[in-house]
Amino acid sequence: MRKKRLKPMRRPQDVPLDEIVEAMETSGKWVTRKLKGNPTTGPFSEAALTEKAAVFFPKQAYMKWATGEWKWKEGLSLTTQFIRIIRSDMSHRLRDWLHNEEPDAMGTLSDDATALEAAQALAEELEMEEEVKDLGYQLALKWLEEQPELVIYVKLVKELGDYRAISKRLRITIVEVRALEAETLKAIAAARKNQEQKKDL
Amino acid sequence: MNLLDKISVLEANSVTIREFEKATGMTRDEYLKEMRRFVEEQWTKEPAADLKK
Repeated sequence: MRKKRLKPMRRPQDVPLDEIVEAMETSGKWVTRKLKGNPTTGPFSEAALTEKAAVFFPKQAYMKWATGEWKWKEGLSLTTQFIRIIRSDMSHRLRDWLHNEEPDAMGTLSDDATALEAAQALAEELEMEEEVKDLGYQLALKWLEEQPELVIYVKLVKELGDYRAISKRLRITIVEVRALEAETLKAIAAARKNQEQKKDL
Repeated sequence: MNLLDKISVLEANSVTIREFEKATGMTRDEYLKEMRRFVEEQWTKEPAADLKK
């Protein structure tokens, strides 16, 4: 059978510099949101990375794309590709760091223990996102059909551009919108796991 | 763009300029200038690397 020829991706030098810088900025903002600012300890601190995370990771994303280390995904924007690269990078670094971290022998709640808990929570969040990253809207809606408020949320994500617009439409606060978002991703990840377990039986 | 990609962009766009400047330790203009400098630096390295081949 003949292999379908995919359109070649644009060479980095063929992409306007403004577009690349915009993708780096948006992905840097995504890092800021994920890390809730700039962490002072742990694998994403400036000490660990040599630069602030929101500066470091977009540069890494650019290099992986420009050198061809990252396999280009057809149909996705440069910004989306950069975020995906960074998510994968952060997830791997976090897992390695957690693997090397020794638990507090005394079992007392120290700064390190709090940082460890936060790192584990972020690792789980990133892994969950990795699992659902290629999920289309239709399947997500199918899996959420028993939870109408989450179905509404997904439809609004597709239709609207920002949290403020969603919050206005639903007449809830932005904090509540973000809570809906977290619930949606958890529900989708759980439904996906359930589906895979059924396949294995 | 699928659901998670859209959500990721929503998350990114929810970051204010102030938050971003605090996280990066530079103004937005300085950040954009730094990214531009970094990319242009990679572009100038590439032809030099090609010459060595």
